[in-house]
Amino acid sequence: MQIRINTELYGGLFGMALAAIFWFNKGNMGFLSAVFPDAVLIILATVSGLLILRGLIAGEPTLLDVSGAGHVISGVAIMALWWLGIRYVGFVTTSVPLFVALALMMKRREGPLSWRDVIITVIVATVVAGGFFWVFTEVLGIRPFRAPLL
Amino acid sequence: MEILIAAAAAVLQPHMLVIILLGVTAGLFVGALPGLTATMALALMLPFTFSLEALEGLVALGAVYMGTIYGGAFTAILINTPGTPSSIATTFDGHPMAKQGRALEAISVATIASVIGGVVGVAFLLIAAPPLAQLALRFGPAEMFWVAILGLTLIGSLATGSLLKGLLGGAIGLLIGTIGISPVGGESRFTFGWPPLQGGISLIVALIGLFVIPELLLMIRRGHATLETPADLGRSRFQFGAALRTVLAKPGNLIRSCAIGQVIAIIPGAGGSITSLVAYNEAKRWSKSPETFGKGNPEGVVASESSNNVMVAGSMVPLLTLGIPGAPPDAIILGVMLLHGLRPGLDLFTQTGVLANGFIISMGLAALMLIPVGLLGGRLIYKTILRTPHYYLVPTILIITILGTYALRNNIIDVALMLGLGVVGFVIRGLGLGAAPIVLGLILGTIAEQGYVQSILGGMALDFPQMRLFVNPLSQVLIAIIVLVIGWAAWPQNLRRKKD
Repeated sequence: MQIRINTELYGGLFGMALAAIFWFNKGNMGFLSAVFPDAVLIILATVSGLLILRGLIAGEPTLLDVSGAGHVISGVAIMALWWLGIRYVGFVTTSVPLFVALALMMKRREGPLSWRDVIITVIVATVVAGGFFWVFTEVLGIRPFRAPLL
Repeated sequence: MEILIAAAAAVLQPHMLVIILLGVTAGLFVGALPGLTATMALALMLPFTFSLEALEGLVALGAVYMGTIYGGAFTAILINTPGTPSSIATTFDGHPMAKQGRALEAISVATIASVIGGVVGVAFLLIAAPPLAQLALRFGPAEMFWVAILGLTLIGSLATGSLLKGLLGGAIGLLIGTIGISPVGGESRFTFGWPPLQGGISLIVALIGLFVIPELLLMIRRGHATLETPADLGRSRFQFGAALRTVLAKPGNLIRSCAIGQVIAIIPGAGGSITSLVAYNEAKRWSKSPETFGKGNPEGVVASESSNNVMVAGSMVPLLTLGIPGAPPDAIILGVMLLHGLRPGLDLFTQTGVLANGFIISMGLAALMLIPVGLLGGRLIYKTILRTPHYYLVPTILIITILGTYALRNNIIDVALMLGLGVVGFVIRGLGLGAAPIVLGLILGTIAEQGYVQSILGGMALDFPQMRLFVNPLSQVLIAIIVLVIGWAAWPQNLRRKKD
């Protein structure tokens, strides 16, 4: 599915919103700390304003492909769960089920899933997540995530 | 000369050659995967360099970079899908050659052209970088501010196709760069009451988030990639001698393409896709038989592949001399340099000359290694890639990015920032805002801020302290170039708009 969107207008509005958020969260900064961000905010607001104007006056709608948006939202949700799981449960214990979930979600678009697919994916997920965890902690000597489980 | 000999000796150590070999192989593998860019390849390899010495880490990333740009040619030729944006022009004649049963000839030609391009780029970098770094010493705070603005303007006008959107991206990057402790005033800024932001947003976190996560979300959205019927490599052998003769048969095309690649590579943000497209276009324009282009003319492959490999080392010129990345992957290399306490400029070549020159020489060795790796291992890598399903690739890459981001500072908040920036990057990509200007803004933020504030402090005696930014002749030259760039970028857009 495709939708028409005035990218200049929305891009400008995004920039303006960002400038407003930062402007109203400046707090009480001294001159040396504030002089450069102030200049950047003014430039950001000006460029955003120009984009909005151009979008309103001569904006040409761009076709945007939004097919598969549901999958993207699911993907983002899996990433968020991944982060939460790593923080509160553990890296390998979170990564294996979420690797499987993401892989099967993508594979299901090719056709119905079989038990064989699930078993193979679990094996691949365990090898990949466990393998990288081992490489990072034991070979590269990078301190592991501080979580209750692996 | 002593430094060059010492640098060559340092990188000719057996373990260094193994690092280069592994780097080129890994780069070739990632580069040949459609959708995975050179920036992504370097970002993925980054955590593996943390435990290495500075020179080893840089050598590894340089080799990965060289391998990735070359690897893009494989899928461009065999399945008409450029592995990296730098190989777009390679599809024009490479794939028609494959369809005519000349796949191995096309790959062989691409390999030789890539090697020559890579070596030419390295030679230019070795010769030009030290004197340019010397020249950079003349740049005071005001000039450095304008250099940063010039970099942002150039990438703004080149990277997104819309000057305003490019400038917006650059300004957003500058703004993100102001989060955390102010480099001049020392105060905490824009933390929104969240203490983890006091340390600012790490460049590497932003790079991984803005470049890797949007690509993964795109792959999730598209589902399993449907590839055109791949060309069959059969059991025939690569044609090294014939390919060498083909490439050298048109020396003008080769020299012109290398020159174009070198000139464009120096422009911050121009990138390999622009380089190869311009070189391809010029090859066609200068050819006596332009009608054969697009139908399997090896000259097109030579132009594209030699120019985009020149860019690998060529884009390091502004990086190593001024700290301004010539292309997005260079930003990762800058990040590694900063991690090891190395700052671009003349000091890099005087105080750490062995390291700087060793890094450059290693890229030349990486270019030479494309021949054995590409011609001997290419077939195996290509077959492996065809069998690697995207539904395993995406979560695997996600695991590497999560571990890599965490490993940077042992901080789980960085992972959240990386994922958050990635999602934002995916959304704003839909609005036509590219990641490259944002990242360059983030990189140049510190340079621009220091130049800006120091200039204003130096101009406090003036009625309007900001005027200090405009009084030096060198600043005026840079301002003139910025105005020209903006004018050049804005003019054709207006003309097109009127014509439409």
